[in-house]
Amino acid sequence: MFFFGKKESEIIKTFMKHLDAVEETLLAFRDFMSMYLDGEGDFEALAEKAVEAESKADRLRRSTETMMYSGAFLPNFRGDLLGLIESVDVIADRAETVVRLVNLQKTEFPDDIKEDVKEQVKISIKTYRALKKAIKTMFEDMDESAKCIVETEKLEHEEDELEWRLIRRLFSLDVDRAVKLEVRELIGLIGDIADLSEDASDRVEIILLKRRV
Amino acid sequence: MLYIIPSLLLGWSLGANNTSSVVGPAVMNRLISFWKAVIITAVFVTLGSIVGGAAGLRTISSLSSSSVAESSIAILGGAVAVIIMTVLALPVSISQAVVGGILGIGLLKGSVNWGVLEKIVICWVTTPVGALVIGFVIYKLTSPFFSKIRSIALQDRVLVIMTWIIGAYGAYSLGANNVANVTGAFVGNLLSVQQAALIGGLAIASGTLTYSKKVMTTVGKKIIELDSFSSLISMLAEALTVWIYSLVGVPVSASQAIVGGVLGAGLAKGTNLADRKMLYRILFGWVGTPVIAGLISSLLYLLV
Repeated sequence: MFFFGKKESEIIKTFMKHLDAVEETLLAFRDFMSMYLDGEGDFEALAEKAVEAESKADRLRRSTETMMYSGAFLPNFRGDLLGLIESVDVIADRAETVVRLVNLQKTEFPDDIKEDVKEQVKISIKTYRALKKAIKTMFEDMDESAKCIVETEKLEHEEDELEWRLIRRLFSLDVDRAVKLEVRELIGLIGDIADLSEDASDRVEIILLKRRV
Repeated sequence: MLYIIPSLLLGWSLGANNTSSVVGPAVMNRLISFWKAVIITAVFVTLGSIVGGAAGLRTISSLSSSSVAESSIAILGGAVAVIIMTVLALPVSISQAVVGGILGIGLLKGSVNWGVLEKIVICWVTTPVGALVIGFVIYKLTSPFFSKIRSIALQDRVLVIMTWIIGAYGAYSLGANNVANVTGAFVGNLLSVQQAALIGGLAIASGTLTYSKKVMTTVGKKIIELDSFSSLISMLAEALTVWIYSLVGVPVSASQAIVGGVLGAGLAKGTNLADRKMLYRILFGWVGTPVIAGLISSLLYLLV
């Protein structure tokens, strides 16, 4: 960060904290899902933890944005960066939504697909981590960032395949149709975490492309 | 001294118009704020007039021998032509307006120095073409180095520093080259070269500071939309071209140079022209300006 001014370095630091808070939300979500699917442990507490982490991410997003309005970075980049921060923030929102819905609806996941759902959660988080790395490296090493973008896209594709396999399996099972529809909606929302990570990585890609001469 | 008023008016309109050629692309790319850009332009345009304006001032004063009153009418003709072209929303070449104005009277009197005119016209044709070539070459030479910078922080730092240096250099070149348009016609018959340089420089700076925003917005957005790096290269091409002509001692158009520079940088990058019609209109303006200025000044001369 040597070449950035003090204001810029401060913003990047807060943005990195925001990325960490989003990851924290995702990890709480992962633990919650795992405990919930296994049917043991205090998953309510983990739901609480996910909600708290999401609020923390929100606060950090707001303070990053407020700092940016004070005139840090070149204006062209400022707009791109604001868009990127927003697009990362919705990832935490989506994880929180899944946690709240599952906890509220007490969804009955069929035993046959529980392991696959855990796997889906894992890949989604992996996709986010690739995005996180793309953003972290973006400021200092654009080539490395470009590699992470490719990785994000690859993982998102993997998740997508798994998601459709999972839905196909779900609808082949002999369970109540209402349960099928409820679970399918949740699978879609979990898949959103990978999709949204990929969307955010597209924004990073645009930032990099704009700087190509 | 009243005769100088048209000069001050022309200087003001020059600053209002041509500041866009010096820093417009950078301001439009938001590499520098409008106010910082106009302040740096005002300072360096004055400095350029005083330090490097002498050669051009002598060229203009030798174009046609004329009295103070005739010079004043010629300048007024040029100023009116600039205003008409501005109303038509065309980029204006102040150099062409002034030379047209002086020629209008010179033709009536039969006192045109054709050798000097030839030199000036050749420079007019080579200004946009020269800037285009310079822009193209500089882009090709520097972009490999710039693209090696893989840190956003360092890239932005380089862009900002380039903006300040090129902006100041462009303003200096504009002052050195174009001050002759403003007060050149009075050198020898009313003002010394030094006085002409100072008064002209300050008049241009006043236009830069008070009324350059409008033209900057129009010009900056209607040619090719360039990225930050290319827009700086176009500005550098403009500055270099105008500076070279100030050494030769021929006032040329910053507007023409920036159009050439933008096209050159755009071509080097492979960007397509945004609006072909716009280019034709600009070309019409380049031919129309000296003609209209000449007609107006000769009419005024006949009336007075």
